Amino acid sequence: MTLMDHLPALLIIAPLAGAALVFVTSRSVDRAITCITAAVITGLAVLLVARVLDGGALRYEIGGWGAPLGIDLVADGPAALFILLTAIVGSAVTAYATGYFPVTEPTRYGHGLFWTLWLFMWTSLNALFLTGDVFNVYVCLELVGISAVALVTLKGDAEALRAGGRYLFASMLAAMTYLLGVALLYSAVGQLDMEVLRDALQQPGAAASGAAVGLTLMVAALVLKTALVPAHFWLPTAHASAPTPVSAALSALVVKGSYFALLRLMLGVMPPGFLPGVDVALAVLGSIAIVWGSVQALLQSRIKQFVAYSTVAQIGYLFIVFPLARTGGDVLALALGGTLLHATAHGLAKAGLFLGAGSLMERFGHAEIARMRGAARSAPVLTAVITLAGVTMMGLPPSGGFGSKWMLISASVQAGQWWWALVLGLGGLLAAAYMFRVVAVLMADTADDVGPARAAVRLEWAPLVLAVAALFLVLAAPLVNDLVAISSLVPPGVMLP
Amino acid sequence: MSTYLIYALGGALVFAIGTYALLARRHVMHKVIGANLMGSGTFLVLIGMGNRTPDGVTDPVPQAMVLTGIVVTVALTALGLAIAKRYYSVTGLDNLDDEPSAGDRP
Repeated sequence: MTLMDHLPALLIIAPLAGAALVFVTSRSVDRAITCITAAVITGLAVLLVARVLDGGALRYEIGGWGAPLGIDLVADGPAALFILLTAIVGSAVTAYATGYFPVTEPTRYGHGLFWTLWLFMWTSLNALFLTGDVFNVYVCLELVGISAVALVTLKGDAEALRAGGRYLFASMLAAMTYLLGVALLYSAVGQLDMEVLRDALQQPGAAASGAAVGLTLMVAALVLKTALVPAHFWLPTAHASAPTPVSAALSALVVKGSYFALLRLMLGVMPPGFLPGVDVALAVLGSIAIVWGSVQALLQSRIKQFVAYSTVAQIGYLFIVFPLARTGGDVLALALGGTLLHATAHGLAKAGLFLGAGSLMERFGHAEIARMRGAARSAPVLTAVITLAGVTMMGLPPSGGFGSKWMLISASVQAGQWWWALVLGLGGLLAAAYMFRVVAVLMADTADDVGPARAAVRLEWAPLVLAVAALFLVLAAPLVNDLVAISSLVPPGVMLP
Repeated sequence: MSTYLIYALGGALVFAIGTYALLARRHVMHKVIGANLMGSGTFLVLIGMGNRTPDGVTDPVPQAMVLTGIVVTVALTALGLAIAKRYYSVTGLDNLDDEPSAGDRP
């Protein structure tokens, strides 16, 4: 075996080693180790994408114990895409954090534990994207959840603790429900590996057993973790009261982790129509999320709450794929490609938007959108970040948001389910409404007082890089489509657009 | 009534009680204990499953899952208790539902 064959394991070991190293070494080298680790992970992620494009999906047997006895890692196209997205957003968040957490006062925004917790969260996210075992999904989800809750509570004030506590209880409810689901599924089928499970569930009579109950519980738990309306109650406070780099990572990456597990369960494990009605129900909830989240975003007076509710809305788009997937064939490939492109575009743009919003808060010394007038003159780069990220949220060309909505609308029309296209269009209009409301304030003629500019240039360019990447992401659509084709989610022989 | 069914139904009952406590109780300690009950109920379901193999040899996989589940639950519980303790010392509140008054914030 060459080093390239061990890439899935290395992508988990590298951040884990970095996290452990940061924890045991002196505070003064925290930043350096985190930055080096981020660079190493990014390199490995690029190698993994190249390897998957070149040689197809990788199946890695940890310790040489294959399924069903051991736990396998599966690096297929979508997993490689999410690993790369996490690496890009993670590197930008790391660069931003080195400017955000002041060197002179390491405990100003918490207890100096950001770096180690952040790398632990990165480890568990990579593991979650790579796992091919439904029980391992549970372990990874909890590792992500524990580090995410700890990161939310870093500041240690009443607001952060309350938000973190609510997040933790929602997380616990989802964890226990998911585990009971796994228990019932195992009792009915006797398997945990996703590929083995898929074959087992195709046997006649599988739907009548306890497997359906177990899978329903697992889907419900993942919906709660992904914060799909009406299970979104914990998200806005948790994402808004965390330190800014944490907010960006939570909104851009963490919700994608549980979503990816759900995608694998719904499309990769269950045969079409295994849980009748669930696919349509998820898409209906997604449509409600698009409208409800957008309306809430319009009503928020504080900038981070506004960005968080925009996440509630954007999550909704990820659920339209399920009823379209039932059609199979080209429509499935188109819908899945659109969904993954949306997840990527949203990840980049939302991280940029959160980092930009956090920098604006630092600049003005408060969070009220209405008192940020004239930012276009005092903070031109940050205004550009918000505007460019807004272009992706609205889905205007040439942004990734445009490409993904185009593909999803085409898939809806081809599947003869045109009503989802209406929802997607309405979502774009609502996003335009909530983004223009903020941009109009930033570009107002009258100017509000700003504090002194903080020296770190990283607070401006890190979000700008992300927003610009999201803006031109439609150019990466062919790469996304190639990666989607290398996946167990798409049956072989399907032609891609 | 098979042995497994007793475990499964008992586990489901304990799980339901835990879910009720986690959702309906306001006190943070009640919520933490509720979550632990949900875990215990699931572990009962899993443990009972072990002797259902046709050849009568105990299936070790559910036990491995219970062991891992216990570790995860302990970590979640510790984090929950740490947050509850800190929240109480910052605000004097024992639940997350009441708005902390402005004077309580540090």
